Amino acid sequence: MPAENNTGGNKLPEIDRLVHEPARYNIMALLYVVTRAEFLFVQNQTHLTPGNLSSHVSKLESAGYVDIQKQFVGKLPKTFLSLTQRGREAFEDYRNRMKELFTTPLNVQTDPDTE
Amino acid sequence: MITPESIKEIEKRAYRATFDDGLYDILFGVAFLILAWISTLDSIGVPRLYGYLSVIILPLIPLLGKKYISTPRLGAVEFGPRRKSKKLFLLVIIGAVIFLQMPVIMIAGAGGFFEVLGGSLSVPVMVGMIIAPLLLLAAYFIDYPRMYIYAVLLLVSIPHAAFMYEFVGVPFNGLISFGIPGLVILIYGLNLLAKFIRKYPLPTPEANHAG
Repeated sequence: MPAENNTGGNKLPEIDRLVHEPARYNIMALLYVVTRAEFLFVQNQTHLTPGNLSSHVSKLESAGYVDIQKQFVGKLPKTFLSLTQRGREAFEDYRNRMKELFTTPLNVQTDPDTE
Repeated sequence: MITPESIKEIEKRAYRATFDDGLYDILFGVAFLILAWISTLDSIGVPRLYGYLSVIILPLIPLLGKKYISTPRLGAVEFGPRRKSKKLFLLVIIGAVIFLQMPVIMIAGAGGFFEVLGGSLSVPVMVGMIIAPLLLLAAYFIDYPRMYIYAVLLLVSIPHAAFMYEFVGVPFNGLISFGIPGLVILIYGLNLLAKFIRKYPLPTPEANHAG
């Protein structure tokens, strides 16, 4: 949902709240730079607890941004995470919108009643 | 704000995390010690073949270490095409450098260059002439800054061994010039490994599942 400021009526770019959350952003940023990573690797790099990471990954998977693959390596079950194409596009779109947000000049008008 | 540089830093940080285990530092430390050992073989009457065979253990250090120590603790990761193409480009460069260096080394050897330094140093000198430039290239392409230091140490050790030959003779010049740096690097690598094991304990089976 676009946000409007109170002064010049500038419309701020719409931001994907799913990506915007700091923990999920960290997860997606890490997965963006790799082909795929084990759940444990993502946990170690993002410093999230297993439960917390699992919760965020589930939300990203529900949105179609992350793919979860469970496989056996020897006798041990392992979980691998990777960004889907949709997830990559969403992450890039988020980056572009944030860049636009920080580079768009603000039309700041002072309120004469407060001077 | 997310910038392209930020993404690069994230990738670099994740990639460098795979070197936190100190295994490659242990490898270089052991390599220096093997060079020191090879330089002593002639003086103690041991065939050089045993020294050359000891090189076999070098690749086993990162191979077995990654498989049984690092990856079970850190987790597995496959980096993107950019990192893979960098490694491939590095292999091509290494091949080209070796191809260009071999005639130079053979000419130097035919001219008695290695004997001038004390015959026991012939292997370390050849290794240094080939390996040191490759280490510098590898350090650049695989973003492993410590490799610059090890390359410089290798380059410095060779003339240092030649210098020490005048004072202590064989085999002590090789032992000092290659053995001491090797020991220091090995201890540093083992320290890194110990810290890595403390930082990344073996996970419980439940810790590696999503959902």
